[in-house]
Amino acid sequence: MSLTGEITRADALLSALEDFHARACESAPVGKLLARWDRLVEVRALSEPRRSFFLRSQGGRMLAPAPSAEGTPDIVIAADESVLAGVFRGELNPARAHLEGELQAFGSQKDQLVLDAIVLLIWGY
Amino acid sequence: MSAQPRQSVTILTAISVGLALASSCFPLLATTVGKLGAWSLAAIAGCGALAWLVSRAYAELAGAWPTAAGVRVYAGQAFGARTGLSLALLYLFLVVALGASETWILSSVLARVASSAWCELALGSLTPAPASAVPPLAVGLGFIVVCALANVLGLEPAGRFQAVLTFVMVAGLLSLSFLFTGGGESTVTRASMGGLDALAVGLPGAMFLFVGFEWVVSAVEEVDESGRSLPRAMSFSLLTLTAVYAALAFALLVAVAPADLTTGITQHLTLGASRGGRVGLLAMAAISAVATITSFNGGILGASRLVYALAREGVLPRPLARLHGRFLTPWVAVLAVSALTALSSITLATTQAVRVPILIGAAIECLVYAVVLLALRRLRETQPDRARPYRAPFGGRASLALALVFFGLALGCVFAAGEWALPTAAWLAAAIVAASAYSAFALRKRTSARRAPARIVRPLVASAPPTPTLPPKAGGGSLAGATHG
Repeated sequence: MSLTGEITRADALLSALEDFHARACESAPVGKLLARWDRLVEVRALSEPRRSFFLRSQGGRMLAPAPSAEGTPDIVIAADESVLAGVFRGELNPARAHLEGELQAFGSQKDQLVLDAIVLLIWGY
Repeated sequence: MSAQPRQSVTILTAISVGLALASSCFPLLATTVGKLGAWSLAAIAGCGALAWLVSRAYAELAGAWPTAAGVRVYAGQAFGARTGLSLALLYLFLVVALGASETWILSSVLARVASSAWCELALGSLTPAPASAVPPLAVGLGFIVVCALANVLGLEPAGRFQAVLTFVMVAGLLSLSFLFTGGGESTVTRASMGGLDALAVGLPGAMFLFVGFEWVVSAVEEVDESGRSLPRAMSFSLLTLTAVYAALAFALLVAVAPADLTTGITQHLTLGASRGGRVGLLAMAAISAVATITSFNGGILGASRLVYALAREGVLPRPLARLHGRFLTPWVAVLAVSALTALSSITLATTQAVRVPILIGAAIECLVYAVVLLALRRLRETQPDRARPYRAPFGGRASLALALVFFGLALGCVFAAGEWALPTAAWLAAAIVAASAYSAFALRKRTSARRAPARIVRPLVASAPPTPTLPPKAGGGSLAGATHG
């Protein structure tokens, strides 16, 4: 894979996360959910180039995605980059991807439910 | 870097034991002892070994596909989405059926304790009163309501508390079994060792004792990613369960008359009362209550999460995917599963056929085990390069042979129902046909929905022109409605 190709793919995931972050910040119902949910989420790409981005919810707001974060993540969402980008862009149903074995989620089931609800609120499915 | 919190092997072992060791196990264990006599010990050991072999298959598959959806994903990957969904729906049927029998047995236990207390006060005897002072159906329904409420409010017992509760129950059962084996002045004629016919009937019952140990794989997303914790936890769990059942079976064998072993559903209380008097009866009743709480509550919790996930996937009605705005729990799914269990309890109260749902549950589990073993074999062939942190010490023909054994045990469950064999077979067949037909319907509907025009993403910027052709998707699109209870 060329360097250019890798950069393009990296941008695709990051831009999906940034768009997701912007939508989460503008949504009042999501803000209501986040008010009781201070967590660190790691979004881990399993396909090459392997890397992670971190989303943190703090004080009722979601912070911008970052390539590193302090502390141990409460949830790890792991999948191929195309799946992750699809989920955060609202093109893939995360529940379906999870049940079909394409998306892995590590963390407490309650935290997974909340994260899933945020995706549902933003994308509608 | 990995997610927190992590469940330790000890807690996973406790979850597995707690899910398998239910009040329904006690009458089935007593019946097995009544039919097989001393052979029941061999049956327990044999079924424990079979369960361990299945646990290796689960461990390999859970390592390769670490998802709470478990068998839904394994079977789906191996044999297609329809098989996976059918098995998930059968699991739901199993939870509802076993939930009903579990609450019914617990309510019978409480009724017997209450009536024994009444008799002791009035007559100075531990013989149960002829008419129960506690209506079992009301107690059963009350228990379901309490569990549903706790699940809606998100009151999940902490892992460590649940582990302590389970280990106290195990220690209590082992201690009482040894105490009852050695204690008591009277001796009874021991149940005779049954022949091959009895073995055919008794084995499925013994297999049921281990049902549910594998539900701990739904916690795979909360354990370490090395894939080592689950296999070890399931081994410890099966070892613990085998020891507990063997000890209790021996106590039942030496302390309870054969006629009492195969009658009723509170034989464990008979054992406690005959050897330990009022204290023995109360101790066994307390253990029974803990057994029901750990297994039933875990069942409702797991089933409601599965219903939620299936609704999110689009194969069950969408309202089932609602989360409570305040408690962040899938409250509609919890209430739906609880309502079905209550309905099942009412049916059970009218028919009194408590062994039917238990044996249907055992048959479904044996079928699921068989499919998991076949999935192990098929996935090794079709996806050999998939990372497997743990590998089962068998595969290929051994998987196939084991699967056949479990298909045979599923059939045995039907015959073990005796006079209820026909209704058991009918319910089991109806459940399989309904699950398969609904799966086909739901997946076809989902595929049709996929073919619908592509969804247009709402513009994020407020000043961007609205898309007139974009009605929010049902229940979504707009940012309201998904979590409000």
